[in-house]
Parts: sequence; C-alpha cells; structure tokens
Amino acid sequence: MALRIVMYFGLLAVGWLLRSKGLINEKLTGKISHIQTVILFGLIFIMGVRLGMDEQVVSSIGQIGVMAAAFAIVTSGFSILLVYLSRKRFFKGEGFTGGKND
Amino acid sequence: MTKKILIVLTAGILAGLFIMPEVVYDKTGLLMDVGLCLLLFFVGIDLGGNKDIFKNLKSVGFKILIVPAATIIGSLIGGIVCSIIFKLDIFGSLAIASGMSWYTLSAIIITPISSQLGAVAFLTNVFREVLAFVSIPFIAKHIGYLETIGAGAAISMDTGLPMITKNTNQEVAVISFISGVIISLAVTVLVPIFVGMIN
Repeated sequence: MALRIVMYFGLLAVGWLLRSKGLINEKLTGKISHIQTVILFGLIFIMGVRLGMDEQVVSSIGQIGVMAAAFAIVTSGFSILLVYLSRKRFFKGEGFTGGKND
Repeated sequence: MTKKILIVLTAGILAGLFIMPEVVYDKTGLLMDVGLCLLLFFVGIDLGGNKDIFKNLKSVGFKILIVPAATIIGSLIGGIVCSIIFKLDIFGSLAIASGMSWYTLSAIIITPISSQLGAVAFLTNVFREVLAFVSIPFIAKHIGYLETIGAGAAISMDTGLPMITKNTNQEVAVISFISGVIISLAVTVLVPIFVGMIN
C-alpha cells in the first residue's frame, strides 16, 4: 500500500517534471488527451473482464445483489451530498464547481 | 462518454464471462497495474503543462482536507441508513460502508467474521466503483467538479483519477489524488475498527 502510493506520486512527479522542464516533445503533448482516453477504455475493459471472470462476483450477484446495490447507491449518494454541502460552504470559483451551482 | 464507458464495461464483462480463458484472469492484474502507471505518468505530463495549479492549490490551503473528510463522513452516514433499512448490525453496516470503493481490502477483512457481510462488502464496493465510473461524467456536468471525488472515494487516486481528470480540470485532479490517498488510508483503519465492534 505505502509502496503503491509512493509509486503513484513518483509517476505523477516524473511526468510533471518532464513537461515543466520542456523535455516532452510538443507532438506528444498534443496527443495526451487521446492517449489517456485509449488507456482509460482499455482499463475499463480489463476491469469488466475481471468482474466477468470472478466467480465470487458472478455467483453472489443474484443472492445479495439488491442489498449491495442499495449500499453502493446510499453510501455514494451521502458522500456526494456532503461534498456538495462542503463545496457550497468552503469552495468558491468555477474551477471547483464546473460552472454549476456557484 | 458515459455510453461509451458502459459499452466498453459490458463488453469486458461479457468477454470475461464467455470468451476469455482462465489464464487471462491472472494477467489482468498486471495489465491494470501497467495501464494505471501509464495513465498516472500522462496525468503528470498534463499537470506539468499548467504552472498555476500549485499556486492555486496553495490558495485552497488546509481546505483540501474537507473533501476527503466529507466523503468519509458521508459514506458512514450511508452505512447507518442502510443498517436501519436492512436491519443489519450497525457496525457490520459501517464496516461495509468503510470500504469506500476498495472492494478487495474491505471484503478480505470482513469475510472471516461473516461471509455474508463479506460478500455484501465485496459487491457493494464493486458496484460503487462501477457507479463512480458511470456517474462521474454526469456529476461533473450537472452537479459540480469536487463532487466527482465523493463518488470515486478511494479510487479517486488511481483507477478513478483519469476519469475525474478527463471530466473536470487539473486543480480538481490534484485534489482528487490527495483525497484518494487520505480516503484509502482511512479504509485501512476504519474497516478493521468496525469489524472488531461487530456483535
């Protein structure tokens, strides 16, 4: 866990440093958004494959799926609600609101 | 974006169910790690292009802690509500809610105490991760950028980060990463605590 966090920070820092020092080719920087989208869809597909191949997930979906779905929606919903209330109270500016509910 | 994600995710699930041979499963972990590392590297390159981000974050200051705190407290309130709805042991319910999208860890800790709660925890956090992937574009567009972190919770620092970056901006991406780290650390502390309190 600790090693992973360090590695993630490290990769972000290396990418940030290379770009800020002007060591990244301009042609590549113009394609970053496209590259990110391709890798993202690849990751989502692999995540789907993992879920489909995981017997624990497949076999228990019917049995306890409704309860788990309710837990996911309610916990996620309250997290979003509290962040929304906190953002309204403590954060100003379009950079945080996305131009909505400012 | 959401439609494309659902299509790709569904295609992946169907491929996993019907097409992929068993040996693929073990390799998917490595593939996800490599893909994730590449993405984080490119997110770093993206961040390096904007020199004002850290200046702007400095102006946000300690308030950066508010987002992970609100996400964690919100999840715990959700856990209490679910314990009332399903008449579950409140600490078991809080243990499930404390997984905050990190389905592998929470289920592993809970299962030895109760296999049923462990299975619910596993699926809850799988669903929460999928829900985050599907809802982040909608939340960013119609509710607000910071709220995407509330949806992603623990995955805001890794698998959810590219999605949040794609749909918000670089300032929120940095807050997302830091929030994800704090939330993930909280998962490792909160789940064992609540599991220890289950009656």
